[in-house]
Amino acid sequence: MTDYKAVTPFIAQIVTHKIGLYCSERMSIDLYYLIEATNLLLEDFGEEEIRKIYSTRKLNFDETKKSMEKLNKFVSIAKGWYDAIQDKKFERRTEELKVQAMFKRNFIKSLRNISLTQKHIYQLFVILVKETTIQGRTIPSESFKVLEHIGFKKIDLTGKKPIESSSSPDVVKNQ
Amino acid sequence: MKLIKNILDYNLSRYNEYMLNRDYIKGISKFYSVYNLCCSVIGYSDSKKLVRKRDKLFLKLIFCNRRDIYDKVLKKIRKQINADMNVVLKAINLIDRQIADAPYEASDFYKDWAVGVLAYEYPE
Repeated sequence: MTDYKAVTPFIAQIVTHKIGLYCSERMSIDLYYLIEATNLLLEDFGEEEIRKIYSTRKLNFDETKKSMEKLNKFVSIAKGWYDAIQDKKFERRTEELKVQAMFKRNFIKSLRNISLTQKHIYQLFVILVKETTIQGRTIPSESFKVLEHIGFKKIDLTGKKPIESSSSPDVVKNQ
Repeated sequence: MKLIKNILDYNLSRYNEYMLNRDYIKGISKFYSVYNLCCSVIGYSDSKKLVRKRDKLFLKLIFCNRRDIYDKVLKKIRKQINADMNVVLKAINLIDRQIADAPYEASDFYKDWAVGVLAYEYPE
């Protein structure tokens, strides 16, 4: 029978909330919340315990820690630019403030340093979830943020000509 | 593993919505967050060459201005996603089996509402 480590209730609540935010975000900003959740779980679980687990699985924990620090640095820079952007939908607009355009440009440039495939952070997260009682929890629905309306695209009627009102036919009264 | 299943279900539904709404960059980034989680679940890792190729294609898509090149790159990425979907399916099947085979549910015994409730001392 496997022994699962019980997570402190307070930490478990914060972690599930952070994971809800992780699911809601995209374009590498989700990694910001995943790193926070993983660090919290790691603090609660204990670094020494995780090192033992890593050594039994023949994995290098120091490499993971180094990669996480590097990733955290780049993700923090990207988030800094992302938070300043007002329109999170990234719609193409003809008229846009120069400052907003600069924020979007710098955010997209900052994505260059963050790879699509992230091995270490996800590996650590999955190991922590598997070894603790947090694996049985569900994410509360209020943690999922709605960033933009997702559904069918809005139909733009501004380009169409207005309907001309047709003159009503003369009613001939039968006398 | 209920938590990971929860995360995968939500993220995959968001990926489908983004792709249906033609928000390809957001959809692709969402798919690869699912893919990374699934790789960790089944213990699979990509070669460095494939990782670099994927990143190069994604950055090309983001910084592309020409429509014809955008369509070509998108087609290549979609082909890659179709291949990577096998890993996602394997991981989901594994998680479903683990949830079904578990003899008990490993979770916290306290109630969620109990956290933060103040304890009052009753008078003697």
